[in-house]
Amino acid sequence: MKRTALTAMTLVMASTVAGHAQQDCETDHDDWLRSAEMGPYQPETEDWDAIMAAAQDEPGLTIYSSTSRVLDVVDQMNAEWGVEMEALNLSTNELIERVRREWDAGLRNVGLVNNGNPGQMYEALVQRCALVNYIPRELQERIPEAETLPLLRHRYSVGTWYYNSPDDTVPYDNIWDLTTEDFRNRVVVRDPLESGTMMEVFTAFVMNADALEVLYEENFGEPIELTTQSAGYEFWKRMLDNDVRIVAGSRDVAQTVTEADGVMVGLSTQSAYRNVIEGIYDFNLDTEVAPTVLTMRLMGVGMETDSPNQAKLMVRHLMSQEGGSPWWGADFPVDPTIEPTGEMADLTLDSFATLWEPKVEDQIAVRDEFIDFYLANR
Amino acid sequence: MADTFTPGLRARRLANRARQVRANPALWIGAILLVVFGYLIAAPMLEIATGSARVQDGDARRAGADIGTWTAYYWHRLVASPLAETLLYTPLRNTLVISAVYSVIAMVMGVGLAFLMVKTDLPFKRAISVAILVPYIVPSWTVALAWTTLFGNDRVGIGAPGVVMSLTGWTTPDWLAYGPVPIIAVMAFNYYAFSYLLTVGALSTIDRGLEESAQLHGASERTIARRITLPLILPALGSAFVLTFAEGIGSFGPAAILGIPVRYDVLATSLYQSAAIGRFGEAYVLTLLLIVMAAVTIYANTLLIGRRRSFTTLTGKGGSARVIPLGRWRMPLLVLVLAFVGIAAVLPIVLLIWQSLQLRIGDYSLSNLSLAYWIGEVDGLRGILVDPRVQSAAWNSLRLGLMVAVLTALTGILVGYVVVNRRGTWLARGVEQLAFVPYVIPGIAFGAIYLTMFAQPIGPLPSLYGTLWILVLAASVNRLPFASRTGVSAMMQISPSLEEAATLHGAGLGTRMRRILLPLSKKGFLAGFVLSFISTIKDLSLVILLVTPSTNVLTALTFGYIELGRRQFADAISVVIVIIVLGATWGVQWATRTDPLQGFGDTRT
Amino acid sequence: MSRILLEGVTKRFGDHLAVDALDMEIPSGAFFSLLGPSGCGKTTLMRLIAGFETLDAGRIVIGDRVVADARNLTHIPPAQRGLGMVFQSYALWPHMSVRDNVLFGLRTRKVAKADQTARLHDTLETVQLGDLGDRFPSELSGGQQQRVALARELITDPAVLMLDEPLSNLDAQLRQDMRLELRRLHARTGRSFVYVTHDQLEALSLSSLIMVMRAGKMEQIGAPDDIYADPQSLFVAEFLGHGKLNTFPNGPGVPLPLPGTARDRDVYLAIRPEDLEIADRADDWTRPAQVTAKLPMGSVQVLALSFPGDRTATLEAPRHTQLPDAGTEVLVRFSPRRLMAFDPATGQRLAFTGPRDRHLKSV
Repeated sequence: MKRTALTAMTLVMASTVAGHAQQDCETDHDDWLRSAEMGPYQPETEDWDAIMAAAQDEPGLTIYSSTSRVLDVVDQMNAEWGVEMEALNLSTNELIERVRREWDAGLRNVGLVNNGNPGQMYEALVQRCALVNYIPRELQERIPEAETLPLLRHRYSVGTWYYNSPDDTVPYDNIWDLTTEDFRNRVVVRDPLESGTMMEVFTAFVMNADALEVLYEENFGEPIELTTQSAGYEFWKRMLDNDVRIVAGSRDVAQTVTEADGVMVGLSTQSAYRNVIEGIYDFNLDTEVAPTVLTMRLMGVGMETDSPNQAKLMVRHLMSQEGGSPWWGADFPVDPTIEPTGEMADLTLDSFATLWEPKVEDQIAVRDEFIDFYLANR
Repeated sequence: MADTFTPGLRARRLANRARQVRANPALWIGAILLVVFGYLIAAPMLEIATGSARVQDGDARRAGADIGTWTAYYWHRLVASPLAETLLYTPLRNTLVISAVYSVIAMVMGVGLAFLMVKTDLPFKRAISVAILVPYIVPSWTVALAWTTLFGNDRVGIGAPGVVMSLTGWTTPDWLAYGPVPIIAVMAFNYYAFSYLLTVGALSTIDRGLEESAQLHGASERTIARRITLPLILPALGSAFVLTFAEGIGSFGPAAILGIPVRYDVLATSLYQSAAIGRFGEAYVLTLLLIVMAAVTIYANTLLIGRRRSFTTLTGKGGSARVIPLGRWRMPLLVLVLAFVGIAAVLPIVLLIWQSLQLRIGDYSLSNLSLAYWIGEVDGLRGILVDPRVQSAAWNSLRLGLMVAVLTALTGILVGYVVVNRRGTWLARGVEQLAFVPYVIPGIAFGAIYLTMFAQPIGPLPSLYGTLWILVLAASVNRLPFASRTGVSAMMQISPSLEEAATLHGAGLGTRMRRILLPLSKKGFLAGFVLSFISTIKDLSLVILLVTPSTNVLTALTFGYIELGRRQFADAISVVIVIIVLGATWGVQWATRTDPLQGFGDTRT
Repeated sequence: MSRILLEGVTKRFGDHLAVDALDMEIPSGAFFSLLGPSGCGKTTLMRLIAGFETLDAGRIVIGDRVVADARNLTHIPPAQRGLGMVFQSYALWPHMSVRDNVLFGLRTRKVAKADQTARLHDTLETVQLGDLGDRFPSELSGGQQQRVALARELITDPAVLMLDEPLSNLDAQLRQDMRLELRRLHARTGRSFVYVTHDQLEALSLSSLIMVMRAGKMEQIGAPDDIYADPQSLFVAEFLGHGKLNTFPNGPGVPLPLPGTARDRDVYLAIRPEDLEIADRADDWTRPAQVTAKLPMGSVQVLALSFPGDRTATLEAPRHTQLPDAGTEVLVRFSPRRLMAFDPATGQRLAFTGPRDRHLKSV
């Protein structure tokens, strides 16, 4: 419910952000879009048999993905469809850099991208026309347009807080408690410089400075005294001053929280919670107290790829109940008709009491400044 | 004179000049190398230099200028802005401290071992000499991983207690778990081979008569070592120190794994982070600084070597060095050396294997042992031995390593040929110096530039991007400094008269190469070959931007696993890499009955 | 016809003038020695003739073919100059057997197999290495290596054989043997030998013609006897001869009556030790001296002499000559036929007149 409201809010902004660039790209690549039947030339009803037939003659789709699970899906579908797709697993930032350089060099190597960091994806790739937004017609009926801009969202995940405490209750009443002496060296986060997704989560605090200001006053009974630009920066400044642990991987967060003697709080994505259910790790998920940040993985088709029909098939497949199944157990589908599966099926976006959804244009606006702030204070 | 320059004469001169050049292969090979290096090395350098002074893509907003316009923004930011302390000066200080301290420690270890191995009657020398070099073969970042496995505590970083903490209950202090101390320790253990091999080389070339005459004059062993031997090898030691230091400046792996978690930055990690978040302007500035720093130290080295040549000359008579009996110290020293070898060579590998078998890192109980990361499945990821992607990456790594090894070893010999034959000319200097430049360019910067350069077709060359060839090219150029050093020293040891004698008998270049030069430089060629192979297989940063799905290699996979925090997979692949590299080295050693790593000493002089 | 003609031959290495506008002719069939101290340019000159270096000026003619001409940049490659060369280090390929080393030249010249075998056999016999064909260079003694190097060149029957200090790596006895050997080979092959050496004894004993070089220039050229007996400069006089040349800067110490052009100017006098004699009575050409030491040296004996005014000299005489003992006062005779005078500034020989009647030509 909350999610729908939030996404509706971003609709207007997102479409203006995407609108201008899309126009130019459509003009520049009109021939290809026409032949690939994408963009303005996407037919009202898509003939999937014809697409499948056309896909058979294509040389082979290359997929760049920040999730390694795509690799298995590709193997599986190659066998099923009789095509020769290949996939490469890259980190979020690396992926964007690769596509950007390839595009600038005139290489039309990548056919499909599945990646986080919407701000950079938009600024570096969509604006460049390197990616074209493709939404199968059948999905357009089910997914609000806001959730397809600037690119179709493949799935959601959240940047959320884990904890480990002796009595298994949330060891803080307010997010600001984490900046107090009780939590010195007791919070572990993933390095936002290492992870594009974490950068989204960190910057969301800056974008929600007003909310943080209110929370601060609720917690300490007095207005916040700023030593930085806003309560958002102030929060991270105090966290860093409080000796927050910074680790490289999401597994490292889970590991640290699990192993801790006494109270330990972690910030990472919810997907590691699956390992708790599997018994590899042991911690609790805070869905009530601290704000949770919505992050998303986007999919875009490589402009002028030689295998547009395979790309269409793959998009459709990854969005489906079956094709997306490697993710539906831990991440949240965008298509409301998808049934969550697996041990975490009970956890949905509605489970989180406070869910912040960063806007793409805010992400772009805040990122540089936040990196500088982070570099100076970490 | 002027009136004699008739048109006919001019044409004749031209034709004769052409004939002369053709008859002088060092000249035209040199010219070709110069052009190729110019394109592969100088052009990227220029790209870096101009890149640091132009607004980079995506930076228009923060630089306040259009993309591509000239700007002092990046330089100002790194040198004079409030962020300069964080981005440049602190990492710079850390880099210098780390490099200096670790170089001293590595020297002490390397020189000490070299003395024991060359100059004493320590038992089991043959076996020990093999083990001593293992740490050089093991990628430094795997040693760093092993360190965290050993000394990690639950307070910093991943918070997994290491072996020490788990077994003893003693919370290892933070300074031992992360930061400068472990970085220095890991680097010293990884790079002492530099000074070891250089010292072994220097000690072996000392005319034993010099020491024996001191002995006749009644000098004690200690006095001989202090007054005769040490001064003789001092220039070699100086050279070893400088090169060890230079290596430390650009070293990324240990600092990334042991420094970043506690925000202890060095220039290389600062550079990597800038590049990783797409801030290439800053990355270029840092790259240039690294280049300048390394260049200065290398220049210091050439000064040292210049002096060195004056008194250690290669006689070619590999007389056996004089051996000092250790007497009652023999056994204690053997134990010490074995302990050292155990710690440096065996322990990291054992730890990696152990950790790769832990279902959950840091849990050392038997019930936590699992082969899941090897042959099972975790989180939908297949164990590395049953993952076809790992298999194809291993195959790619092997192919890449072999191709680079052949290419660089050959190029190295050609460089050596030109440098030795045209010694003193600007051509030789140009070729030699250009060939050395990649030594100071960080791998990741190289990768980024090659991606841009070879994405489009160049003349008759098709776009190399997405093929293994771009990796081969980048890795070859990256290895070139070492290969050309090997080549130069191999060629130096071939008296020019050997080739001239063949020339006199009408042997063409092909015949001379095939029948004289290559057979005679076999040892150097093999050393270059094996070292290139090893480094290419274990190199991390270079390939990361250049691999594509079909050209993925093991190291890139490993790095992916580390970034995802899936350490056990990374550990398992590291073990595989170590096995491949050790297998290759020992295979060559066995097949050729030479010790390719001994050539390593040559590569550094 | 393998005469070698050099005209204005010049070679520079950077600022260093290694060979300076040299003109000379090596007659066909000569045993020609280039003699000089190390660094005088003799090896460079040989390498210029061989074609391993290019000329900066001048030209080189071998036979009647111009092999190098700086003016039109002619440079015939070494292999086409019809030369053989024995390097100082022998330059034997260590990875090849003696046979492969020696046959190398025939193989590159694609000589028929049967012919190869025959010539290999002959050549190895010539250098007395008959049954060592299967050995590797490292398994041979220095003298044997030397012979292999010779064989490798001789087998192709070059018109000119160049030898770069070929005996310098051998011990004294072997050197003696090889000298004879080289004489024999030269006589037997009838080819021109160009021989580079800094050992005057080698040059004197082997050559038919010697050129003494100094700092890239020709100092003197001539037959061994002439060069020894009649050096045209102090440098040549000092460089040749086995004992140290006795030299006397002219002055009150040795006021000898001098004839000719030397009479009225400062001169630098020199006389070889073997040319000094003990005199029975004083005359114009004797001076008193004291014997400070008597040194028997095998085939000869040497007296160390001290003249008034702290001047010293050595006198050398055959071992059976009766010589005074140390401490004796003697009269030493400076034979005017043997005494040489040089310009102290230029080191050039000054001609005598009067009793000395040979070689009156001024330099």
